[in-house]
Amino acid sequence: MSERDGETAEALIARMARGEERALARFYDAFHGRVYAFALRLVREPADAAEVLNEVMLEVWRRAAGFEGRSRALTWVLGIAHHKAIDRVRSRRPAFADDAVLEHVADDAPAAAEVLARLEDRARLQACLERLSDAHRLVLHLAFFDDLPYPEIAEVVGVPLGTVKTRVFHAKQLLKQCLAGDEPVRARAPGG
Amino acid sequence: MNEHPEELLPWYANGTLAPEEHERVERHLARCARCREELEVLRAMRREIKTLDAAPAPGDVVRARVLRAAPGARRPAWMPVALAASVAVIALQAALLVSLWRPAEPRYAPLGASPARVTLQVRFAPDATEREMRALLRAVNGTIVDGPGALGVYRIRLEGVEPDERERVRAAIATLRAAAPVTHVEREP
Repeated sequence: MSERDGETAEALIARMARGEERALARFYDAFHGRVYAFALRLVREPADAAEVLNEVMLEVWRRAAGFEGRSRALTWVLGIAHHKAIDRVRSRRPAFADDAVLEHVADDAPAAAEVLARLEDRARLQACLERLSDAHRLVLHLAFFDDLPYPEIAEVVGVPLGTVKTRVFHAKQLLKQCLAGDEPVRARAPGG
Repeated sequence: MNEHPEELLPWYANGTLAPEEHERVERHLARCARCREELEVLRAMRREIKTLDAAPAPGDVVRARVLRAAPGARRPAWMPVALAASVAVIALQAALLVSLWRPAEPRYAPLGASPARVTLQVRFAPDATEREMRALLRAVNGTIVDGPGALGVYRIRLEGVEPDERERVRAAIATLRAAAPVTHVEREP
């Protein structure tokens, strides 16, 4: 993702800083899928995720000159997406808290074989992911969809390293328990 | 290692651990069946989430919107300099306004008694200098009576020109229009 036709994302950002609109088009083509998928995990509605994508790309364009290359381009753009998505969620759900709820995570981990079998049930996995808090679902997405190292997840979400590790650990435990549980779970309807 | 490195396993599964952490986890996995099992679960989780979270991104509509809005949303590196320059121009223009503004009518003049005036609406280029503006005002014997407005328009009164002296008005407008720092001239009705 960092390279496209031999040009790094960082080089595209530098060109955007000089006002080259073609660089923005190429940056959009390289990153829109990741930004949209990430936004969708938080805002849930495709229309809202598309709005976030629009806002993120314009923000990237505006802030290109301030990009110092201390982060990877992907981390930087997902960090912007995190802010924009949270703003949008808050406009819809004012009570939204950007924290992992301190959920009770039971010690008795379900057997691996059982979890593995249930993981193949896509509908159940989807429903169980939706049951997680936003913060838990988001870190799993960043770790397993985007394959980000934990220091980069900490940067995107804006929490300390230790929190990221604990959060992913808890999210994984909760997901396993939901998958292996006896309770029937259903994915919520869009907008729910 | 005595403790299970459970909190690092997700990043062993996605292959992003730093070399020393990777090595530490690997050494542990070699002799811990429980962590190997856990790793298998995490790898399956990662595989499934990759499929599940791969949402079909919106079509070209958002792309077109972004590219259409970009020029207006632009704030590239040179902007602070340009902003400082335009602030300086506005300051100069304000100073000019104060120095050239001459209240023509006494405040107590009765309504209807003030002579008819010719007023032009003039917009200057953002990089117009105070010296250029002053020279132009002298050339047409103009006085700034108002501005700049929200759109950067100044109202300039032509001194000593009566509304029916069309040739003189036309000449003043032509002089202003021919000047590079002027971007727009229009006679006020």
